[in-house]
Amino acid sequence: MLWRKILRTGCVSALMAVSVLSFIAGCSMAAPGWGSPRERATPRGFSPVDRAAADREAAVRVPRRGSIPVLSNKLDLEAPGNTQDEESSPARLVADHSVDPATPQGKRIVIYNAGLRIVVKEIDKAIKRAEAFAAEFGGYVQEIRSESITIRIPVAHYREAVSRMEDLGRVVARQLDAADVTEEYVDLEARLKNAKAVRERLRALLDRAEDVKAALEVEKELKRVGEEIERLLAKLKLINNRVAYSTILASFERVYRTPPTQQIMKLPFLWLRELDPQRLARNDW
Amino acid sequence: MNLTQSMKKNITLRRTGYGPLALTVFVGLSSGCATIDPPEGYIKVRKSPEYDLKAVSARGNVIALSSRTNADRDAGLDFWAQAVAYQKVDVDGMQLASSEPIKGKIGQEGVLFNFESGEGQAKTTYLVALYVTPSRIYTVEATGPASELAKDMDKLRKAMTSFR
Repeated sequence: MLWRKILRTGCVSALMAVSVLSFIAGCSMAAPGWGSPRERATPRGFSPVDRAAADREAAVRVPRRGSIPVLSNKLDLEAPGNTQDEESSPARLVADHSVDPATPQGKRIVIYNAGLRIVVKEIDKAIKRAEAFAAEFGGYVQEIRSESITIRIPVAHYREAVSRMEDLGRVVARQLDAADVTEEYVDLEARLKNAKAVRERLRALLDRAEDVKAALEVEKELKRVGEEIERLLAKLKLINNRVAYSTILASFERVYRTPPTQQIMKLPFLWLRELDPQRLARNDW
Repeated sequence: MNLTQSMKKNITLRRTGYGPLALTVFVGLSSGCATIDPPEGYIKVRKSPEYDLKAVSARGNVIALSSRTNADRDAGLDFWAQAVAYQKVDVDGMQLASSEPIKGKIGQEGVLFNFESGEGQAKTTYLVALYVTPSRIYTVEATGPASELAKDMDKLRKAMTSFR
């Protein structure tokens, strides 16, 4: 009886250790050996139901490299501020648009930012017009300061919005950035799917835990994995928002009309120029 | 008739005693031989090539007289006063602290300018007295550190109005 209990507890710990290690390593479940029949074999001390759980887990794999989900700019993107539950993960935005980025047809996940420095006659009016642009293009104002405004514009209207902003005055500096976040996005999504798979396995283990100690250990691990999933979701949500809405920062400068410099005409009389205190004080004797 | 009038004029000049002086001044100014009385405590610099007369104080203040030909007989005191102010303020960048009409020893009309430049310890005062005749332009200049020149301001002013 004692032998059987020790064995069972040990098996639970071993399985959890494997799960945790694989998760911490950020490995995809396609990592070598993970899906091998030997590793997927039901551990000793677990019922045959565990095998089914393991099979389900195996079915939830990270997409192959050739099927990386990609966000298309033409998608009907979510409005900023809308929350996503974990079930409607960022993958929803990219569903059915999987393209291999390595192929010529591959689309990248890109964040567009623009910075403009514009000389205008009236800064207040320029800021109000920029606010109007944001509303016109279905975007929103992120920040207004005394001499600048940051607006978020749906990526589909990015270039048009930049062009309209440039019409506000004389552009003295322009910076247009396109940050490719495809790799980061894919990595985050893989981690998310992996974490979810681990969570499912842990839930299954929790259902079959036969004593309180084992159940507590699984619960603890479930909590940690849950937190990690939340973190990943938040990161993906942030990227989605940045991809869906381009950021345009416009800094304004006022036009200062400098008065023309007075033209100094020298009089054609040398003696006037010789009226000089330094010349007078010179020791010329 | 003419002889009588001439005699009367001579008698008048003799009575007033200013006749020979005025005549001397007129002839002197016409020929460019003008002078001033240097301020008390100032010594004359004998061989100053650029000035008709130059004198200095023991504290470094300088006063000097110079003259040149008037370019046009119609260019009077107003014209040259404006030209001096324009040159020193607009061209040379000095500040005009004050300007006032003055008269020379025998009543010649002139203008006294008080220019300033620099700030604090480096502040310099530059005085220019301007007298104009149809043929000659006379200037009496004085300069020195503002603090030192202020002490001699009365003496310098007196010297500048001693022009004859």
